[in-house]
Amino acid sequence: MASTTGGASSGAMDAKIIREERRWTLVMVGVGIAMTFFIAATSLIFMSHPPSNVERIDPDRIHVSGEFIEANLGTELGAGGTAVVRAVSRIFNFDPSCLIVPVGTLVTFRMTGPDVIHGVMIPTTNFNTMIVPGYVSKVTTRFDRPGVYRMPCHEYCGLGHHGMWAEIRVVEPKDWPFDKARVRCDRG
Amino acid sequence: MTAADKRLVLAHWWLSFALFVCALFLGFWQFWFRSPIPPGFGTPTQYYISVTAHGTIIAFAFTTLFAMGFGYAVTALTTGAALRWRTGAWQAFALACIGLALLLVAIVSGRATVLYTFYPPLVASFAFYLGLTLLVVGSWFWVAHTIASFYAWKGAHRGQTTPLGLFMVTATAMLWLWASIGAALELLFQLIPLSLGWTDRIDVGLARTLFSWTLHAIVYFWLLPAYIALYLIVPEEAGGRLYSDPMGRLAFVLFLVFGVPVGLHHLFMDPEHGTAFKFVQGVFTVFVSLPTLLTVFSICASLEIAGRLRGGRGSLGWVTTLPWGRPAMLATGLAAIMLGLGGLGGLINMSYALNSAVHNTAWITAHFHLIFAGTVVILYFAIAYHLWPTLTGRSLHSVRSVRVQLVTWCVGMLLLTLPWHVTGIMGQPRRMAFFDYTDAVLAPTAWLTTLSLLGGTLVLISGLHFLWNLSLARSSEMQQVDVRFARPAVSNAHVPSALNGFALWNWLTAAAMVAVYGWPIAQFFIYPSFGAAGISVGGPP
Amino acid sequence: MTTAAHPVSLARVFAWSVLAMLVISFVFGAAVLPLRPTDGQFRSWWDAICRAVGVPLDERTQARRTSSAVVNAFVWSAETERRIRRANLQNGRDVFESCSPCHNSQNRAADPNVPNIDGMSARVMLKQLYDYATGIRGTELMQPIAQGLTEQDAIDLAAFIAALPRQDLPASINTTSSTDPGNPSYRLVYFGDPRRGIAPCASCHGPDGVVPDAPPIHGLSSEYAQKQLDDFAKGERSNDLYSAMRAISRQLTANERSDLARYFGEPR
Repeated sequence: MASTTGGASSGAMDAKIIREERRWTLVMVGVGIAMTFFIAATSLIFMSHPPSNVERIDPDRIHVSGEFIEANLGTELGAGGTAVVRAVSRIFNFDPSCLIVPVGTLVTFRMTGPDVIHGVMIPTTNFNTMIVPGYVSKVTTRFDRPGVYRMPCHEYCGLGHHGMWAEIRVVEPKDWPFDKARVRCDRG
Repeated sequence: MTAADKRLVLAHWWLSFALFVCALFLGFWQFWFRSPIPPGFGTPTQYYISVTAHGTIIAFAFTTLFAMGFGYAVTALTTGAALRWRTGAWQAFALACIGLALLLVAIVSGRATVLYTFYPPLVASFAFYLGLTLLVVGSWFWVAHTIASFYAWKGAHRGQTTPLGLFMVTATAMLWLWASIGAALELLFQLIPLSLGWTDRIDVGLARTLFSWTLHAIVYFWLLPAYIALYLIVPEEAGGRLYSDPMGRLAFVLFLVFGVPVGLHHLFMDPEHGTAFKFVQGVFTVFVSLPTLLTVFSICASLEIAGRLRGGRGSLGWVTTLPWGRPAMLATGLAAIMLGLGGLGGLINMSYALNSAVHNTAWITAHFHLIFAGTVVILYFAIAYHLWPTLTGRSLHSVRSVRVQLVTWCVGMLLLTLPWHVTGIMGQPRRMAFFDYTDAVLAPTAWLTTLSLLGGTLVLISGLHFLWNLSLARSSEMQQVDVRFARPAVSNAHVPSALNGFALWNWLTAAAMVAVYGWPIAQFFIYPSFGAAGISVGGPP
Repeated sequence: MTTAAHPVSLARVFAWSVLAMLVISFVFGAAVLPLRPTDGQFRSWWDAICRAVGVPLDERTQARRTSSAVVNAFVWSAETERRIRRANLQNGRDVFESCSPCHNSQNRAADPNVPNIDGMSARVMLKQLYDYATGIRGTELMQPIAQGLTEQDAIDLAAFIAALPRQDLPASINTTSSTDPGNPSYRLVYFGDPRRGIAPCASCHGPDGVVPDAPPIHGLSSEYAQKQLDDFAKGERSNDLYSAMRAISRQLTANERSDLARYFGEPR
């Protein structure tokens, strides 16, 4: 394909082209390094990064014993102003389908499921994770604004995926139903 | 190109475009169904069947067949010889067709509603997986054919620089081979045994990890044919020269090294991996922007040469002198707009800490429709228009009609995807058949979704217009001339041997893959999970 | 013409750069980022690195968070499935002799509060028998009956019942194409209600999809279906794992429940 027109100036042009390319490449690599640095720094400073916690569990037996039996689901207040929310995602509902969490508190969500892959997010917050059968998903976040939020499943889990919406209420401490060990708002 | 080769290319392309238009209808109906003004026919189950069909056709059939056809054409044109092993190529095409038929029948029968990402433990019928396997195996023939053609040329022309087009198309083929391995392993060792009942459980984490290997690399397989057009067709169409041959080669091999070991960024939110490998692959993802940035430089420089040759003056005056009326030029300009916007979205997607804001929202779907259906597909159109006279011996009936089609595609795409991005940020989740827009979190997305639907209507019309333009091409008296690819500005510039072959790049890719995917895959064997039981969609198999 | 600007060493520079990138980003992701975990709980560097690399959490640390209770619950396993496939259908028929006086689907005058169980999925049948036997699901009537079955009897019985031909589906839900949008339950059955978090009935119970836990419910008997929906809504029936039906039934109005009971109850 290369034709053979040579010229005295083609060598100089070649050198010029290579020079320009090298300059551009270095600049672009620099941009890449800068972007990487920025991403790394913000992840570190704001303690904001994707989930990093591998825990295995038997999906067939989560309802029999252990952390995710029905009686143990809901919000548990912990020491030092923290809370743990345990929930199960299954075809096609979340259990509890209505969660309550205290405002301004570090909340750790622990979720798993007995059947297929689900996803879960709370729009306008940074709560977003996948729930993969065989694994426990753990995400920690804090809600700074009280209110009622919606919590959809965002991964295709079957023909009823579009019906899989739950609710989460962020309440002030004065509105907290303190008398229960596991708090949820989907039962009478 | 010989007549027989042209027939081979056209067979792949006609099938590809026919499937494409079917997928457009499906996509349009899907968007309509989930808008605030639904059509009043269809059910959610049919929606999910449609999503599966649309995704499978676009992701695996339309793109692969187009790349194969284009690949055969470029190989023939750059080697200047008839394609070898043509019988095998036709057999591979037939195999791919059989696979497609199996696939589509399975989907339409409702026994394969698992979407094109087929996330287990959802299980489709065996026919679905078999169909997909046959389609991929058929494409692997093209991969072997292209690689063999490359090395045959090298063997026959010892010490010479390989033609740029041949090098690029071989890089594309190798990328597809690398990309397809992940899903192939998942299909062969996990999904097919599950669908046949040979196993009853599947390790979902392993399946997702293997699929993620394919899921990102495949988009660069879709991208590279468009980039071949940018390097080989556009500078020629503009009336200039390609700024640099080696830079183009470098961009393509960088897609191997940085485009394959990045799949884990699709699993940022997953519980089966930790931050170490998620971050490593995130950093590689940052650098996969490098070959695109190099391409932008090369193509802009090439266009500058063309602009100045046409009398452009000043630092930017050359832009206006370019022949924007020519289809390939116009498509490039429109693609640049969509690449800029889609690329910005891509920067957000790769940002490690921001992923929680966008993961599995409509933002993701909007992004890949803009960057692929927008930027890449408009260049596919340009390729088709450009090669059509050579392949069919007919000239396009009206360049004005072609221009209108390209512009409506771009406008439609922008109108479709830009509001769609916003609905994603507002929290609209992905893959839902329909929404109740009285719900507080969804109410603000209603008017945006309607805007997108308008865009989708334009897109559907434009897609049909594309087919119409091709069909109306009429025979002309003009002599049969093969299309000519761009020549570099410096004709016999030195191309280093590293860029005249693939050894270094494949070794680097292999090393990177072992480093970044080795443990993430091995962990499922060293720390096996309990697995999950398969669940058939659409009833017991 | 050959310049020194693209020597082989440039390739070497590139290769080393990629290696450096790998090492630096791995060290950062494995050892630096975990220093600032999102849950604020930094335990030890070794623990942090293990978590980051993806080594699964030790079972011991998991035990702290569990409830000590063990629920007496039915577990469906591959072993059970194998036993169903190898069941003795003749024994199943014999056992069914004592069920058919009440569960006789041929005699339409049978007690309408008794469900028609022909063709019931074996998995669901076994779970119900188990739940009756252990008192998780209560009717005074079924508990002694279920307790009187041996495990093998239950498996043979479930396999036999599953093989009985299911009655024709009601005309309106035979296939998706023959649905009648005029039916008041059509929307809930085929579309569900996302606002209330209700998936379409058809996506679990068929004809569109059949989820393993969900029984086929067409032609069950309207009175029986009504009672189940009401009991789920009140929480009096609670053997649906993770509130699958309780969450739905609670959200339905009384009218919707009775419409659905009629829809699924009687064959037309």
